[in-house]
Amino acid sequence: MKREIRNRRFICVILLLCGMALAFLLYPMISLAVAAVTTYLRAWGVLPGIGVVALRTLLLLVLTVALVLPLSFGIFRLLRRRARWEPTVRHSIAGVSRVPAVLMGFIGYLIIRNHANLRGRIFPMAVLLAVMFIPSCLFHMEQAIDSLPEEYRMAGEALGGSVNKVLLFVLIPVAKPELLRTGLELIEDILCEATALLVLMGAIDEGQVLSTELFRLAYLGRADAAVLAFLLMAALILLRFFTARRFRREKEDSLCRYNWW
Amino acid sequence: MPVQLVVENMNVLLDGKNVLRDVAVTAEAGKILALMGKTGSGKSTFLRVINRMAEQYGAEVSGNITLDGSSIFMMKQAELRKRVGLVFTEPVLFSGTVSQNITAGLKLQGIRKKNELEEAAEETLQRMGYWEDFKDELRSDAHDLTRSQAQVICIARSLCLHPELLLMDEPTRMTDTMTSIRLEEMLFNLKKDCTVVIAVHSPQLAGRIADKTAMMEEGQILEWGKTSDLFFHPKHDHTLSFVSA
Repeated sequence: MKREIRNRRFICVILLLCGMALAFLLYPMISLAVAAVTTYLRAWGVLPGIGVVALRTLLLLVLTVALVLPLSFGIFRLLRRRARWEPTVRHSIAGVSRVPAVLMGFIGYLIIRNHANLRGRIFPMAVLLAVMFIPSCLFHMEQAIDSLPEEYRMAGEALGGSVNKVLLFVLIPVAKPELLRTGLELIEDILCEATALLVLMGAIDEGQVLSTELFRLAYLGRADAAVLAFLLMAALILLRFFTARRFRREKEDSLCRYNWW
Repeated sequence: MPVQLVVENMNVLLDGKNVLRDVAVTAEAGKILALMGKTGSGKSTFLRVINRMAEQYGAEVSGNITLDGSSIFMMKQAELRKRVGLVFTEPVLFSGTVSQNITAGLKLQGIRKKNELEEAAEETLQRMGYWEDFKDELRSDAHDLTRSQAQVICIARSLCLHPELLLMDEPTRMTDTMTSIRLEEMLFNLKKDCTVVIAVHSPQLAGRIADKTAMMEEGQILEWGKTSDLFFHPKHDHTLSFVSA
């Protein structure tokens, strides 16, 4: 049986490597396709400037979501398996995840625009955005799993399952509706916040057709831009606060449901 | 094959409190040992210590606990839990069909072949005498079952792994009368396959099925021995008041 499991793990690793190789092979093709489409858009005069920005933003968002979800799930499994989900890690992740992306965007802006000069390079920017969203993902995954009563975990472990297997075969199937909702909320979060962030940073706007590089203008000392950036951040923090309250209430409801059952 | 469980000088500390003190008891191979006592006397903790579940939740365990002479602390937790099944008071069903619930333990042990799992589910239900009751419901959603049926499936889930020792924490508290009677019969027939340690709140149940009974109170075993001796010649006043109730 052990040999069978080892073989399966080997196949999984091979599949993962093949997937990564395929992604790297396909990425230049996708980039070329996007470049071709943007050239046509420019040539035909369809939404000049904005159309190109929108297309590049879309590609960046799809790549970011495609990177965030598997990366977060991998880290989540690792933390659970190694039993390192200790209070320090838990509080750090919860703290970082509550910071609106637009605040973290300042750091992103400095890295993308000023230091690493990643402006216009979609793949490195997607990786950077993915890293920024990982704490939020981990926090939500942990919340979804913890919303299940302890009995499920105990029943799984009483059958001799490892922490990892209990998570995969017992907890995740039971928490599927909650995880699905969390996943959709996360994608929505990533899409909304990353779009706002990218526009504010002007990172995808090579031709500078959108005059909304708020961070850059604030950074250069424009008072109106600084005030606007401050108001935007305050609004997003308030929005995050109300979302967190709603999430907490829904979690309490779901706990009641499970307890009743 | 049933094993002998020997517990000597067992002490358990949980959150700085001594929840089990100097516990010593033996469950002979192929026999039923009942742990009797009121709520909070330490019956459930005792069971969770035997399959090393208590350690995971911060309990500090000391003393000798052996299965056929081998210390449970020298065994890998996964291996121990395959040998020692645990059935909880509240039936907890996983997501999926009835059949998937019965074979969840095998799946966690790495067996994935569908026909192997289906055969194991059928064999377990037949061994328990419940095949006729569930043969048409194997593919239906487990959450459609009643609470009593759910408890039967939870017991089947443990038995599917062919444990040598089965620990049961008040398994009939949530079941209806008919199911309780059938489960008692099943436990009686199970003795040839595994040793059973059962925590009970009712002396009647212990009197009907147990070969030996231990009386627990505030984390200690007041007395233990043959069920008939404990019921007809109790040495302790507390035991007398409990069994006469």
